[in-house]
Amino acid sequence: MKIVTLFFEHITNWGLVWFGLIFWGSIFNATSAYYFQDSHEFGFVLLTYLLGLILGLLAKYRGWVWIN
Amino acid sequence: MGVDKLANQDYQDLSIEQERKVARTLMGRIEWEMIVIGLGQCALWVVIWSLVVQSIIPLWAGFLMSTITTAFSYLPSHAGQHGHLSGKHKNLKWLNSVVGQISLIPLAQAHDVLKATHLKHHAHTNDPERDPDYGHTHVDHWWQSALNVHLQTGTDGKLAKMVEEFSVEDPSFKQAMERGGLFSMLFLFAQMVVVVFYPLETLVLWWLPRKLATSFIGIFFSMEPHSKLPKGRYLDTRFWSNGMPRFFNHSMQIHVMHHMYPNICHFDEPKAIEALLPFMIERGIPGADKVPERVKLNSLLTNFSS
Repeated sequence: MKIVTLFFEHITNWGLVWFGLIFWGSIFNATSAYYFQDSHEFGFVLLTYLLGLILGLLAKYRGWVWIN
Repeated sequence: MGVDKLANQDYQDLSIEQERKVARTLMGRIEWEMIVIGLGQCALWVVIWSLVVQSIIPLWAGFLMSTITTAFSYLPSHAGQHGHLSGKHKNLKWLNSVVGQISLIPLAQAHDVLKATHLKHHAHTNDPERDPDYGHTHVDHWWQSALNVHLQTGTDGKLAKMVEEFSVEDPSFKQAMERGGLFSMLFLFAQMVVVVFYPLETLVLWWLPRKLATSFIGIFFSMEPHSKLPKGRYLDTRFWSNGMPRFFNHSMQIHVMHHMYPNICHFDEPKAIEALLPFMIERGIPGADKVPERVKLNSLLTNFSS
C-alpha cells in the first residue's frame, strides 16, 4: 500500500517531467525523422528525448501544465 | 399540466412559484440525444484513429475529423454532471458517470473532476474568488479565454487555490477530485503509452484536437455567456450571438436557460425559453427582451449583435 501511495505521490510531483520525456520526446523524435537523415542514430534519438525531458522540467518548474 | 398550457396561461402571475411550476414541467426526462452524441463521437474518434493508422485516410484529414468529434465530447459529460442522462430514473444514475466518462476520452479529462468544479461554477458564477471558470471567463478578448483555459491549471495559480479551499470545506468535493484524479492519471499514462507506438498520430489526433476543443469550450461555454457580468441568479448569464448558427456554438447562445434551471435538458432549452420568457424579461435577464417568441436554430441571429 505504501508503494502505491509513493507511486501516486511521485506521479503527482513528477508526472509532467515524465510526460515531457516520453510524450514530447517521442514526438520530437518522430518529427526529426522528417527533417534529418541521421535521425535513427542513437545520439539523435537521445537528443530528441533530452529535449522532451528539458520541456518536462521547464513545465514542472514554470507551471506549464498545458504540455499534457 | 403540460408546458404549453402553463406557458399560455395568464402571465400576470410572474411569481417565483409560477416560474418554478412551469420549469418543473420541463424536467426529468432522459436526454437520450446526449447519450447518442457521447458514445457516438467517442466511437467515431476510435474509427478515425483506426483509419489513419491503417493509412486509409491521411493524417491531416484525421486531424480535421478528430477536432470536430472532440468538440462534441464535453456536452454529454456536462449533461451527466447535471443528471440529465438518467432523468428522474434513480436506477439509471450510473449512466451519468459512465457515459460522461466515456465521452471525455478524446478530451482526456476526468468526469468527476469536471463535475465537481462545474457545480462550484454554478454555485459561485462570476465570483472572482470562488468561480473555477473565472480566469478564462472575465477577459477582454476571445483569444485570452482560449489561452487562459489551458494556463489556469498550474499548481501555483488561482484555480489551484480555489480547489484547495473547496477540498478543505467540502468533503464530497475532495472525494470527487480524488476519484477523478485516478482517471486523470490514467489518461496521462494512456497518452504516454500510445505516443511511443504512434507519435505523430497521438499529437495530431488526440493532443491537438483536445487543446482546440478545450479552447472552443472556454470561449463559447464560459466567456461569451458570462464575461463581465455580475453575480446573481438572473444577472450572471446573458443571451448572445456571434453571427454563427446556434448549432455551431453548441447552443451556448441560450446558456442562460441552463443557469436558471440546470435540471432542464440541453435539448429542451429552446422550448423552456419560450415557456419562461415572460419570467426572464420580468427578472431582467441580460438580452431576454430581445429573444423572439419562437426559438429556432438561427432565430437569435437577427436579434443580437456580439
